Amino acid sequence: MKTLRILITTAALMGVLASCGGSSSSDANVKRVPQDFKTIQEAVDAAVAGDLVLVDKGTYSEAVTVETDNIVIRGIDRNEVILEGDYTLDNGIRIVGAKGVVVENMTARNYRANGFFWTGVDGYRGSYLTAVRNGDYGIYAFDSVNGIFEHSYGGGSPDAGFYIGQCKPCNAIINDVIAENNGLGYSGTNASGNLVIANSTFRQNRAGIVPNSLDSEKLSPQEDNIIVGNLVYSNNNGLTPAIGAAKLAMGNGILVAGGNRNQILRNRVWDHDITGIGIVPNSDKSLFWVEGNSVQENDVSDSRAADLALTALDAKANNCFSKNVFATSKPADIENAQPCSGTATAPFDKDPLPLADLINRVKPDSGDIKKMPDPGPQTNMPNAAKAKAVPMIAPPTPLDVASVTLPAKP
Amino acid sequence: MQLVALLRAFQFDPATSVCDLLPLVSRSHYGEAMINRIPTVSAFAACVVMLSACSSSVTQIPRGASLPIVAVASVDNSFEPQTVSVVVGQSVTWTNTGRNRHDVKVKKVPTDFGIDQDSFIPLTGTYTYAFSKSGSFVYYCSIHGTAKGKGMAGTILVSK
Repeated sequence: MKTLRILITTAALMGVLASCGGSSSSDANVKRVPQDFKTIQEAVDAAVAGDLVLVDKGTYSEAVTVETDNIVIRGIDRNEVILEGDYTLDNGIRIVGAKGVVVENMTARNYRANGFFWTGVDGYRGSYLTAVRNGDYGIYAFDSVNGIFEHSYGGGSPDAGFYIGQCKPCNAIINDVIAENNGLGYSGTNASGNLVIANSTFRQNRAGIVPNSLDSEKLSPQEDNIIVGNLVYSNNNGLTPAIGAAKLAMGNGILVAGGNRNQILRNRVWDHDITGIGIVPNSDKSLFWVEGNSVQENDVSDSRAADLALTALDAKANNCFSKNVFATSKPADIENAQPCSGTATAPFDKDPLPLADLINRVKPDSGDIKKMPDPGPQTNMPNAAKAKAVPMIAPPTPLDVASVTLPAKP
Repeated sequence: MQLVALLRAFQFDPATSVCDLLPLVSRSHYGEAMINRIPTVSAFAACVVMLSACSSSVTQIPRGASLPIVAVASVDNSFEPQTVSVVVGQSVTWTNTGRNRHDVKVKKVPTDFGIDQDSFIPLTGTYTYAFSKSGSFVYYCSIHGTAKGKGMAGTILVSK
């Protein structure tokens, strides 16, 4: 099924390529680093829309800024094209206000802020990227729409390995990624509308997947994500670096913090100190409650407080739970108290956790980011040397959510 | 559901401003803030900054004997308000009210205007600059914006 999706995506991309023209590695529009340009930044500055910046093996101590639309930046080898921040540079590659820029097949590590960062763009894609030990986020899209993060790894960041923030509708897909050893595996502040997180692994972070509402960014509250077919386990890792929010959320697999109308479907979630799947309010300058979230067909086990949990103002908020496999819940008998169809047959308890437990429980202080491990070799992009360059000029092909099944335990 | 209704349900007085609730609920997601209990004065000050930041996209300062400091919030990832107007001799204070680190830089060519703040501590850090020249100056966060004024950037209009 996953293979079919990939084929469909590839076919769609080839269609786009045929219609708009892309660069192959033999084209004159390829800017090679270091053969043609000594640095990635020099090649990017020389590139025009449709160009491919092809980076050879090596370690590049650069902070690259991209302000040109529709270029592709690709490493020849994901594990051996390394952008090195040395904890002094801010961002590995950042795309500021440039449409359609794609970054593929390379590693960014040890940056003070972010590994790969898109901001203020329409159209983005990050594929086959590895981001390790970056001071805010690993792979990050802010105030950006129509994007994809796929086949990528984010580890060792105190905020989140993957982050999409402040977009509505986001029109974004996170597919086939791994997030580990982060404060949060995924954080999505005020990221709403047609945002799908699928077929991915979130493990050994402080918390796994955390869509959330805050006043510190625009477009609150967070709404309308689909979290489907993920493996989420052992997110209790007190050794990670962590911002305060990550400390607060620690011990939860999937935690909707002040979000509405999210669908959490067919995820396998286990081994969490607090909740496997929790739906709770969040407070900033505003109070963000939770409405209309739907938790269905997940398999949740081995949670110390509750496999499924809900803190909501009242039953009319229409948060619902159905057809999950689980052992414990707060409130008890949650699928009868808050069913997705039919009438509640158990009383509603508005704060069964209670929330204060989540907030006040003592959590380990932030760990040392420099001690976070490398992930080991990651899967390379197929045929990176010769594959055509395809900028992200159209919205992502919708992912067939209905076809995504509950993943097996590894 | 409306926030006011929610506050009522939790027995907060809806006539009380959200800022009055800051010592109770603000930033509780930051763990430490709950433990340390944000001092009321600090919370109020932060609230004033927040409100002034949100009140208008352009802040006009009347000419007069007193020159109040103009507040700009560095949120994630923009300056609020994005454009402010001051007079020569007046100061602007930037406060990082976001979760992430920000800085304040100005393109030094053609004019070295003097704004240069390397880093703000999230949630608390401030930087104040007193403007001694008139003109229109674009500044930016070098982490989240560019000298061309893209991304996280703002403008100070300084009149004589």
